[in-house]
This record gives sequence, C-alpha cells and structure tokens, in this order.
Amino acid sequence: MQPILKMINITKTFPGVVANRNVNLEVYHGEIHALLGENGAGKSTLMNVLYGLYQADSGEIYFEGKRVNFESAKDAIRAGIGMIHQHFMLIPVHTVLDNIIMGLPGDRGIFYDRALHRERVLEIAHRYGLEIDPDAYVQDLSVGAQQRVEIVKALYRKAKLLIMDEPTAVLTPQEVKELFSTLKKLSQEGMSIILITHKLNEVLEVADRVTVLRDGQVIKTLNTKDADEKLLAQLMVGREVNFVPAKSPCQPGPVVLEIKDLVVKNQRGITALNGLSLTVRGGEILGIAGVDGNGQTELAEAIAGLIKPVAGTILLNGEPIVGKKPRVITEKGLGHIPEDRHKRGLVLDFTLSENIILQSYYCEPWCGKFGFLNLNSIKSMAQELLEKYKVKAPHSEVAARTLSGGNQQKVVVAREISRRPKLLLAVQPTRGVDVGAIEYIHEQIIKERERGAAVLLISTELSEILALSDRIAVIYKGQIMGEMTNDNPDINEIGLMMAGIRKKKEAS
Amino acid sequence: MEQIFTLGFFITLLAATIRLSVPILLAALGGMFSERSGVINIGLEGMMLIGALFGVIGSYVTGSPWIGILFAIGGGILLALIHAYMTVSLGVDHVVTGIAVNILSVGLTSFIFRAMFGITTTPVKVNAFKPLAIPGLKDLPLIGPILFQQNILVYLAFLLVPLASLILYRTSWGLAIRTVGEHPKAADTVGINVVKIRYLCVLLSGIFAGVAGAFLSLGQFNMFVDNMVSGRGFIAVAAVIFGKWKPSGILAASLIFGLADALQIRLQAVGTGIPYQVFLMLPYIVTVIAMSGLVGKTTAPAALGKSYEKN
Amino acid sequence: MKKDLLLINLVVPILAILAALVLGAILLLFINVNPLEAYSVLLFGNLTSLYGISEILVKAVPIIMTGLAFTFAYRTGLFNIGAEGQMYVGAIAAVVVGLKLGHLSPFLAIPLSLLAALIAGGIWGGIPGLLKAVFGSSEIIITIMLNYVAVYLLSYLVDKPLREKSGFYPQTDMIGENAFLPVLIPNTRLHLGFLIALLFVVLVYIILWRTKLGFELRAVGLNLHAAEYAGIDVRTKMFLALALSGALAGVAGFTEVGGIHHRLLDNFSKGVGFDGIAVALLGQATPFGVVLASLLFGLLQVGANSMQRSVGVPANIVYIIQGLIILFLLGGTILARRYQKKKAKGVA
Repeated sequence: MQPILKMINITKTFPGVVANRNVNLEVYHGEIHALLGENGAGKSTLMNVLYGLYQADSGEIYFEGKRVNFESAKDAIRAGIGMIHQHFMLIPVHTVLDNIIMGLPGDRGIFYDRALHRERVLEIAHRYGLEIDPDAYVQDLSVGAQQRVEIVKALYRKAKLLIMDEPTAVLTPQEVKELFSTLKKLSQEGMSIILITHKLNEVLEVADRVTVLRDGQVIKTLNTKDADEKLLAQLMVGREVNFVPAKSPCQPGPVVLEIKDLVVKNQRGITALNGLSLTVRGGEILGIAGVDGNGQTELAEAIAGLIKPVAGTILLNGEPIVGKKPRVITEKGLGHIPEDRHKRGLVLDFTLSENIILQSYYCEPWCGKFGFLNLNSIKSMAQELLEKYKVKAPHSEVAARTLSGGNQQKVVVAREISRRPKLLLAVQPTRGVDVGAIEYIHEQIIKERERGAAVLLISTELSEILALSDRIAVIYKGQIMGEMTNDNPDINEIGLMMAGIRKKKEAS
Repeated sequence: MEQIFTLGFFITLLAATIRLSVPILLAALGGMFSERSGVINIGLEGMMLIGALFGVIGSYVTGSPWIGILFAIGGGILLALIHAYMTVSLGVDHVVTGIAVNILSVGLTSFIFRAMFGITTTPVKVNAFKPLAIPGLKDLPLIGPILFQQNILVYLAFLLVPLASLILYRTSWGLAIRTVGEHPKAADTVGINVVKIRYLCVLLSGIFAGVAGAFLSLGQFNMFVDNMVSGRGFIAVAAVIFGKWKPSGILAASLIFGLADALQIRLQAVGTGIPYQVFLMLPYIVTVIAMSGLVGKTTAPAALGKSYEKN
Repeated sequence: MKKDLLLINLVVPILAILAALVLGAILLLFINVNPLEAYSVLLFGNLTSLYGISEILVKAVPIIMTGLAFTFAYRTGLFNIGAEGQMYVGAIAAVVVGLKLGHLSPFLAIPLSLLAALIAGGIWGGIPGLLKAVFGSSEIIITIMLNYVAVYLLSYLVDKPLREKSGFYPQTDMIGENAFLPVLIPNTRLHLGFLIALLFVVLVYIILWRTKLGFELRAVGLNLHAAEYAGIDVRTKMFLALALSGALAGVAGFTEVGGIHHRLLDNFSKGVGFDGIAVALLGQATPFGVVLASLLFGLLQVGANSMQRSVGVPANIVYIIQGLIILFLLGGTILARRYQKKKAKGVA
C-alpha cells in the first residue's frame, strides 16, 4: 500500500540549532502513528514543516503520492492536512462556530451563511460523537470541549491526515480515554493520525506504529506490538533512565505552611480556589497533582502574595500572610520557583547578576546607603553562584535571554535556593527544560528537603510528582480532592481524583 | 444667562455636534480596523494632517473637492504604507512608529505648503464642500436642521458606521481581521495571511484618516493651516478605546467629543465671562476624563500592539 | 560580539542620518534648490563661528531635557508624549518665581525657579502617572491631551492674569534680572542652562543604572510581571517614573525662560517636546546618546534657519529630515539585527 505521507531527508535549522537532521517519516492510510521524543527532540518542528508553518532547508515531502511544497498552512489545509496544536489555536472571544469557519472564504461574496455552516458543523460533530455547542464562546468551554472544537475544525476542512501535538497534556486520564476512543474511531474510518507525544504509555495504548526522534534525528520506526516501555524509553533518551532520584526517608518537622479554606478569584472574576486547605511540614515535599487549570496558578500566586484571596488563611511559620505584600512574604522565608520563568521568574533583558539580585537588590550588601547599588560585590557574588549551581554562561554580565531554557531555569533555582528559604514553592520547576537540567533541578529540590525546608511542589507532570513527593495531594476545581503518602500510591485513584471523582466508596 | 440656552442655541449646537464629530468618527473607524487587526495607530493625527493638506492641493489644482478627497486618500495611504511596513514587516514598536509618522507629517505638510504657496499670510481659498440639504427631510422640525442640512461627507461618514459593522461581523474579511487581532498565530494556522490583513487594515486607517483630514480642510475650515488637526487624530485614538473597538461605541464616543467641541465654540461665541481658553481645553479634558476609569482594558484585541513573526 | 554592537549603535544611526539627508536632498531638487548649496549652510554654516556653535548648544539645551524626560519614562516601559506640556507648565512656574522673587540673590532666585519648574513639570507628568496607576488609563493619550491643556493654560495666563503691565502684548513682564541664567561665554547666548542640562544627564544615568530606584524602574519597564514577583510596587513606580519624567521636561521650560526669553509668551517654544522623543530614540534611550542626538538636532534646527535666510528653503524641511532619521533608524536597527542573525545562522 502507498503511504499517504512520505517525508524524505528533512533538514531544518534555526540560528545555532539543527532542529531536524535528515528526518524520514512514512505514515499509512488509517494509521495512528506516534512521533515520540523528549522536549526539544524536533517533533513539533517536523510537524510545523509538514503543515507549512516552517520551510525546510532541504528534503522532500510526498502527500498522497504527489510531491508537495506547502508555503503556508493554507496550502497544507487545502491538501487535506489538519493540525491540532498543543496550545489550542482558538480565539477565546469568538463563538465555537466562528472558530471553526475562520479562514474560510465567504459564501455569498464575502458574506458568510452562518446558518448553513452551523448545520454542517453539527452534522460532522454528530457523526463522530463529538459533542459541541456552536453558539457557545470558547472562553467558557472546558479544555476537553475546546479540543473537540479543534478536532471538528480540522474535520470541517476535510482533513485526511490529522496531526495532534501533545493532545493529552491538559486532559484528565478519563478525558484521555475518551480522546483515544475518538482517535480510534477516526482511524477506522480511514483517517491517518500523527500523534506527537513524549508519554510512553500513550504510544503503546493507542498507536499502530511509532517513530522515535532524538536530537532532531530519527532513531527508529517500529510497530508498537514489538515495543515495550523500557525499550521506548531507551530509544527516546539514549540511555537507561533514572526514573526516581534517591532520597532518604522523610523526617517531617514542624508545620511551615498551613492553608485553611482558601478562596481565590482569578482575573476574570471566576472562583479559582474554592475552600482549599493543606499543610506542609519542614523536611517534607508535598506534591500537588492535577490537570492544568484547576487552580494551581492561583494557589501559588496567593501564597506568594501576588493575588489577594477573597477568604481563608495562609500561615507561614504560624504567621498569617494573607494580604501581605510579596516582598514581606519573601522576607519571611518564601522561595518561589514560578510557573513561567519568562513571565515572572526572569527579566530576560537584565543581566544574570541583575536577575540574581531580583528580590534582594535593596538589601545590604547589594545596596548601600542612599540607595546606591554596589555593582562590584553584586557581580562577584553572581559569578560565584553561577559556578556553584553549574549554570552554563560565559559570565554574569550577559543577558538572561541568551541562555538556554535549562540554564535560565537553573538561574531561577539557584537564586531561590541560595536564599535558604523556609518554604520552597516550586511550580512546574522543570517545564520545557532538557533532561540534564531536570535531573539537576530535582536533586536541588531534594537537597532543600534534606536541609529541612518545607517544599510545596505543584506540577502537572504526574511522573515528577511521583518521583519527588513524600505526600501527594490532588487538586481539582480549586479544591484538594484527596491526599495520600507516596509509598505505592494507587495511580488509578489519583487519576480519578484528577477528574473530580472522590474515593471509590463514595462513588458506590 | 437663561437667554443663551434657547431652542435655536440647541439646534445649532447639535448640528455643530454632528458636523464636528465627523472627522473624529472617520479617523476612529479607520483606527478601529487597524487596531482590530492588532496594529496600534497613533499616526492617525499625522495621516489626518497630510489628508487636510493634500485635499486642499487637489481641490486647488483641479477645482474639484472630490479630486481633493482622492488626493487626501493618496496622502493617507502614503503614511499608512510607512506605518504598515515599519510595524508589520519589520516589527518596530507601534507607538514609536506612530510618533515618527506624526513628526514626519508635520514636516512634510508645512514644507510642501510653503513650497507650493509661498510664505503667505492670507489663507489659500479652494472649492470646498457645501451643505447639501436633503429634500423632504430637511424641513422636519428639529431633526431637519440638525441632521439633514449637512454636507455630503457627513452623510457618508455616518453611513460608514453600519457598513463597518457589517464588514466586521458578517463577512469573511471581518472574521479574518478579528482573528488576526486576537491571535495571529491561530489565524496563520487556518491559512489567513496575517501580513496581508494587517497591511490592508492599516491602509484602510490611512484612507479614513486622509478623508477625515480633508473633511477638516474642505468641509469645515475651507483652508489649510499648519497643525490644523490639533489633536483630533489623538482624540480619535481615544474614541476607539472609549468605543470599545466597536463601530457603535465609536459613534457614541465621537458624538461626545463632537459635542465637547461644539459646546466650546458656541460658549466662546456667546460670551459667558469665562476665559475662552477654558472652553478650548474642553475636548481634551473630556478625553482625559473618558480615558480615566470609564473604560476597562479587557475588551482590547488580545494581540494589540504585538508584532507577529512567523519563523 | 563587540562588532555587532558597533553596527547597531554606531553604523546604523550614521546611515540613518545620511539616508534622511539624501531624501531631503531629493525634496530640495523638487523645489529647484541646489542641495549641496543648501546643505553646506544647513550642516556647516554655523560651525565656523563661536557664535554659531554656541547657538547650536543653546538650541540643544531644552531638547536634552525633553529627551531625558522621554528616556526616563521609556526605561520604565511608559511613553511620555507630554514633554511639551510639561515644559510649558515648568516655564510658567519658573516665570512666576522669576517675577515674584527675581530681586533676590541669584543664588536663591535661580535654584528656586529651577525647583518650581521641577515641581510644576512633576505635577503635570504626575497626573497621567496617577491615572495610569489607579485606572490603568493609557498614558499615551493622557499626556498628549495634557499638552493641549497646557498650551491653552499658558495662553490664558499671558492673556489675562500674567499679562505685562503695559498690557500691549499677550506676554509677561521680564523676570527679575537676578533670575536670569548667567551667560557662559560673552557675546553669545550660551547660558548656565547648558551646564544644568549636562548635570541632569549624569544624574539620570546614575539614577537609572546605579541606584535601587533605577533597578526597580528598569525592571518594571522590561518585565512588569517579574517586577511584581520581585516585590516591586509596580503602580507606584509607574507614577513615580511619569512624575520624574515630567519634572525633567519642566526643567526645559526653566532653561528657556531663565536663559533665553526672560519672560513668557504664547507658543514660546514649539515642538521641543516632540524633538525630545526623537532624540531619545536616536540616542537609543541612553542619557549620553540623548546629548549627542540633541546636538545634532540643534545643529539641524539652527542650520535650517540660516538656510531659510540665505537659500530661501522653508526651515520646516528640518522636521522632515528629523522624522526620516527616526524612521530609518528604527527600521535600520531591525534590519541590521536580522542581518546579524542570518550571518550567525550561516556560521552555525
């Protein structure tokens, strides 16, 4: 059988990086083909090349037997390729229908016949069992519903090949199951699907074949029935993976952080935390598991004083900190590795030394009398810190922007840990960084726990939670659904709680 | 004092409100398209100024104010092209570019005016637009003199409001514009040409602002003077924000600013004992008040002011 | 690395200036003027005499101040387009002090009118700052609107309450002679304001790059969210930045009143606020860059007046050249960066 897609010797470089090197990929009709690789392995680049968003430096693409050269997404869409990006390409303030028809030509001249489109959209949605409301606004939809809109959007454009970029990252385990059954149904009807992922179990569960990418190159393509997790992991990482970092048994000390009945509204005025309570003791790591968007951001920002809770108490070492300014809370012993290092954690155009004194610039010895900065002592301290925490940078006076993601994150971690916080709040501490940096950052977090700091780890990567935590709590819709110690935890139960279903007893 | 506020006073006041709101309305509608596509355009002021001059030149050379309008559109397009190239193609900061466009326009207009007409003290007279009373409607009590004894550009400007609404909300172009302004990358992924849409919208704002400027020089003052736009372009930018980026809101905002302008002229004329400069400040102070607290930032297009680079 | 910076910071500005002059030359050809003749007057006409050079410096003084004003707010991520108005109210304050206290010792009269100008400009810049901090109103629009308010305020004051005793012209009386800024070089108009402006150049540099306030302001300017995270009170800093920016622009009013006009009159100094924006951009928003760019603008503006007298070219052509310089500079900087990236890619 002819493959529907053949990519031959694709090479794509960015300034300083080879994102794809001589990549070959074949996808057959009706096949679910997984593209497996770590962050930065080149999966998304390859797919953006296929979809016409990037132009390859060299190589050939054949689609349905014909040589193609997509100069824009429009060409790819016209040929029958649909792509669902990891960050949905939807407009929150548009209706579902407008999101589906945007980019299509008008029906009578430039005017749309929205009634006709509405009918056709509903027809497709019904055929594949994708429940959507065309008149709802996307900003009011759950993540799962938004994903259905994306799928319908692609189907509406008569896609024959569907590219899905990390589709499960934001879904609950139950939503993942639903998605997978949809994908299987689509493939049975002849749809070809490329599934970009770094999760081994998903590959084995849903894909027919898998192509493994590492450092921009294809390592191997194989049938999933000939593969297991261990093999795939080795292919993906290139060495035996040390899944669980070593740590000593937990010796919890006194309570450092105590949160009671916390209620927080987000910027849009919607209740993001709804009576959340938790405690963390010195010398232990409490991991907060949960799907993105269930109040994790607001929890972290409330602790750090960046948003003001509506109700509830937060005690840091027994002192109430609700309504206190961020600086006061920092001075009381909070170290905060923020969720988004580009948004909050770093001033990218500041030098590394300026970033390192970001919260302590006003203190002795960095700031002398009359508000003058002590540039020399700042510089030498920063240089020392960069060496101690193994940050790869030419010197302390380069802009943070020039560093790789992993090294940027190490700067943040170094800064927060070097202040010897009583409470370390680590939010998505390893998002978007390379494997080496992940291991290093995990070690540092464990070191903090051994030093006696209380660690609140908030992560949507369940594997990270399982690897580091002493106790695990699951957050759902702004509440803690349940809590357990991390010795042989029931993953299934965690998954149910992430979906908002409390223990089995209550369900029956 | 009571004698001032007669029925006649209100009729002339409201008729003037309608007329004076037109340049702001036109420029703001253009600015709305630009901003809806994600490009901030504070160069409206300069585009109006060049429109005012080119309108006069066109009418002076050909004797037809209509040709004047075409000239004004050409002038607006010229500056809009610069703005679009800088912001869309190069990704220069939109506000900074707008300032540069304004500075360039001040220089260009005063230089060209002097080069063409010499350093004169007597204003150059050109054929301008005359009031066009609409038969039948013009005799309606109250409404007639207020609405239907204006010049033709006034009627056209107000007709543009529903037209802009129609384009923005009912057509594929409008959806593409709104999509580009909210999320250019998403627009790109469904095959909308972000660069093309943004260029067209900025050019459209140049066209509208050019006409707005020509309205000042050919429909209101019947001459050109240096810096004659005196902030109306900036007020139009404020009207876009105050009107929440919607044609109907912009209409309302323009009428408010037009009223402030009309009021200051009337009040100056009647002599109230208050210094006339206080009235001259009125439109600007109204704008400051309008921008303070009365508007939330939530409705701005999400990608406003952000350049989009594909690769 | 060094070479790259040289390209952006030196080669691009020079090319931008040259390109603007070339385009200006084409305009001159259109009006049948020999560009070489005109430009020799525009660029070099005033460099041959001490008086000419001093006039360039005199012209540059208020532009340096409004340029610093724009730079200060810009570094905090804000656009102060209101230097013009802030300069006007600064001038009003300086004149009032000069009129009332001009008989005191110069050591009192001059510092007091400087202080008054700083405060008045600070208030005029502080209003948009306050509205920004409290309501999040666009400082761009508000500062522009307040320019017009200031123009009419000045117009009213010289028309009525501050009108000269003879009542003839809409202008104030001369301020007391002890409030005049002393002339630095005899037989020129170069006054103490030049040194005061240079003092502020150093001061702004020190504040922005050597103090904790500057650290805070620049953090807000580069990344508001990170500044918030770092415990910096973003709103207060925005207010402060605009108020201080306004104060700097107010000084421009002080130097013009104390050093040049010695009284206040309608439209006494048009466009200096906008020149400040241009020089700040041309000077890469650095205090020393502002000085260089202001000297260039001073040269162009004094030269343009000479050119109008001797060659008959409308002096306004200088505004076209200034506008083009900024556009070429902004565009050229981006194009140079793209070129560097491409080259870097070729090497890799």
